[in-house]
Amino acid sequence: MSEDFIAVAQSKDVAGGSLHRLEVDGKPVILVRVQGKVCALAAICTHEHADLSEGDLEDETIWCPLHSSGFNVFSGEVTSPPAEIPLDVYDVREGEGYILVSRNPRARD
Amino acid sequence: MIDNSPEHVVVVGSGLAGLRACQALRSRFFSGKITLIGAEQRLPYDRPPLSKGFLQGKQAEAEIGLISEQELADLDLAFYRGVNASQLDLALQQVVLSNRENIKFDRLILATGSYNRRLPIPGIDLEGVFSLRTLDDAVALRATAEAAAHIVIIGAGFIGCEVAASLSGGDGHRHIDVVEALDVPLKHVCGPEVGIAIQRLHETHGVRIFTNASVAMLQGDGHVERVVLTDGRTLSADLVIVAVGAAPAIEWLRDLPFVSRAGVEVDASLQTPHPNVYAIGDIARFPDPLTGQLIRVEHWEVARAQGLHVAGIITQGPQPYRTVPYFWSDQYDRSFQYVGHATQWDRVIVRGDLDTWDFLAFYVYQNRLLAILACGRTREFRFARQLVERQIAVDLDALPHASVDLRQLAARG
Repeated sequence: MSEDFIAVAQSKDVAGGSLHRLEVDGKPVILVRVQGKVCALAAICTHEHADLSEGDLEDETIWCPLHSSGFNVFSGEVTSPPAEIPLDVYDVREGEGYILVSRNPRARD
Repeated sequence: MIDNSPEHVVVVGSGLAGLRACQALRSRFFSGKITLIGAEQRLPYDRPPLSKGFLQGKQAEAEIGLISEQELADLDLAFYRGVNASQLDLALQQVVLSNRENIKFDRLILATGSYNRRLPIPGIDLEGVFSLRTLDDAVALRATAEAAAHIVIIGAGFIGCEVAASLSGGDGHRHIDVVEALDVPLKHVCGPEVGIAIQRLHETHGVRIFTNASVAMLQGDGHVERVVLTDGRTLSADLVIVAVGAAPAIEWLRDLPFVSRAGVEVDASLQTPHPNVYAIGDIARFPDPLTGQLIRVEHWEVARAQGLHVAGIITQGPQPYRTVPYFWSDQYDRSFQYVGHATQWDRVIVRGDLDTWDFLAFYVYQNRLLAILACGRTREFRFARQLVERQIAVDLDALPHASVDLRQLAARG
């Protein structure tokens, strides 16, 4: 499995409370650290394509900068409309000072 | 008594409201029959992009579908495409379709949406004259607009403004004029201060807005060439877009006692006086969750939320719809958001700067905060909207002051 993960950042560079945008295999992804845990999610709002890295992180919620859609950072689920479709969530591993992100999003039921 | 296990739910209207109702019925494990009747041949699609991303060429048809063929098949609907409902017989609980079929129902959801108002003026049938409601309209408009040099938009409502903004980009060789009957665009929705700010936003992008202006006729030899205003002024035009508002598509229901030009009257549970008939989306006149007054809202989020809500009522019994209306509008690089539904106000409180299109406007009637419009300022809007949605009492005079933290005000409620 480990070959499906790639190192994307150093742990020290991803502080709690801020949004970090990067690319995983060309796909825009945001990294956030919430309650000590690093989460990786698709960086583009599923509603109208806004860049979520320009939005706000508040507790467990990422807020879209365009139309105020809310997404849970752990599940990607929509917590506030107008978005209807959840964000893709990527598995994350952290160790030895590095953050690794799965190359493919977690499957949904 | 209402039978809580209907066998057959019929949904008239395959737009956002009707489709989401069907989907929510299934996700709530409704296992009876669902019939969906749609006037268009196409699979249900999303309308907001038609005046924005799709018209700008940034989104393709495939990107604005509301459901895939497979998802639709999984819903197990009887889906009539390209068919209108023409009559509702309440006594027999049946809908008569334009193909003369009769469909009996246990529960009926009316979700027929709006049609565009027409402009009964000479020349309206010339080539090059469009309106925008359906994806077919948008496909035709987008194709024609590519080569258009002089575009005239009739009506500076939200659709007219969005279309002007969407078509204005590019090489600068394209002239866009907007003709508006009011003295200030969007005055009845936003008030004059904000309306003027929106007008300036368009003018800054080279779009001319003619206010206090009405169109007398369109002229041209087969194809439109000129728009003649009632004061005699003439605007060159090789493309005209009529955007003079919409009306509920309820002509087929006009003989029913709870239907008027104002819409289909429903109670807080979206139910008409007939216990098995509901109305949602653009056509529904429902009690405003804040004021109790009957309102009708032609916006995406209300259609979506009412579609989900009515499915809960049908599967689990009446429950009041309490979602405060919300809508957005994107014009140029500005995003407008609005929460609440103010039909009248005696005070507009502005926080921020109208001149740079970075503000919140609070609409107050008799010291009660009824609605907020934001231009930019998404973060503040998120907190401010709670003041409306949860009717949190605030010192209105404090709202304009930058030092007052809206987050703290919202947290107090």
